[in-house]
Amino acid sequence: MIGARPRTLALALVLATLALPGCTGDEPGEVLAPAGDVASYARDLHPLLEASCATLDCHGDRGRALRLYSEIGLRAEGLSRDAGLSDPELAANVASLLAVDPGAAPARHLALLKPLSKAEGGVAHVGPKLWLNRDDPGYLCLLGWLSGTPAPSACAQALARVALPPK
Amino acid sequence: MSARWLVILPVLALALTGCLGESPEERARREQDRLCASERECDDGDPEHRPGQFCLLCHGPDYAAEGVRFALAGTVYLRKGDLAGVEAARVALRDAAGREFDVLTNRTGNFMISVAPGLDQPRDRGRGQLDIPFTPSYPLEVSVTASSRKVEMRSRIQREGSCNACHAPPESPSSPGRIYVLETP
Repeated sequence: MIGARPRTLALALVLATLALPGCTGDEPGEVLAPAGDVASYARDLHPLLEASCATLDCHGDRGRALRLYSEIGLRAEGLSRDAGLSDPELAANVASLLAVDPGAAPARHLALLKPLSKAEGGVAHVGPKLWLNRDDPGYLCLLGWLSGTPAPSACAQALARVALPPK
Repeated sequence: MSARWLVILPVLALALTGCLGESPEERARREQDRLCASERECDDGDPEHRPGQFCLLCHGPDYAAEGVRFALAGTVYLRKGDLAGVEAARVALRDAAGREFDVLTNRTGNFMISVAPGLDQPRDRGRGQLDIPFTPSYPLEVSVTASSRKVEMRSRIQREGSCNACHAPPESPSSPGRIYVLETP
């Protein structure tokens, strides 16, 4: 830092601090605790995301946006593939989900709009369009969680359509 | 450029580097560049070549050695840890439209499924090769049967036609390892 003044260094550090929150890191331990409700995520939403989004060829990949850990897909370092999903993994999923569109209103959240049909206001998504309209139980499940008003019956209805084979 | 920016820019660059991981597409491209440095290198010429590798890197939408393009392909092993693939394992698939098709692996464990629109029904060409008359709709459900044991894949295939892309050894947090049907040696 030859010739740099203290005020310049301070400015550089502030900018770096602002840039870093965009990084979610690879491991759950590196992620700050999110504001989302992890318990209702684990209970209502995760089984649906695990079955329809978290496969290794989609969001179960460290390099992809909305990286999701799941029992059948990506695991955190140090965990057996047969182990149940850990609390840090669940918390990391919540952080990842919220980080898709930080601060967005629930109904306009990108995580909700990407799987939605374009005819219904959805946006481009390399993966499939999972929901044909805003009455789809999967849409209502995620919207409920993002809004802080979990919709377990919608989640259960959506999960019934994509349930995975038993262990 | 002032001395201030000479400090700020490198610090920002260092901070942002941590965000720039390698995307799956970049990883696939790098692997393809490694495997397909020349057409000749990928043109091994028979359905038994390169078991365990990412079949669609050289026979996929972006590149088709010898004009051979697969919709789905992979390699099956009998036991976890086997180094050689298993012959005559049955790979059965069901697409999102409910269409079912299956193929038997060849002597190196390879199977490959191509789309041939003119057909009335799937056509088994032997040596692990199956032609189907439609482009399969994702997601796909898959099972593998070998040595009288049937294993259902618990997750669905959402987009990746190269089975070995996800089933790359060794087993790790980001891979279930090879496709196999028996847990024990």
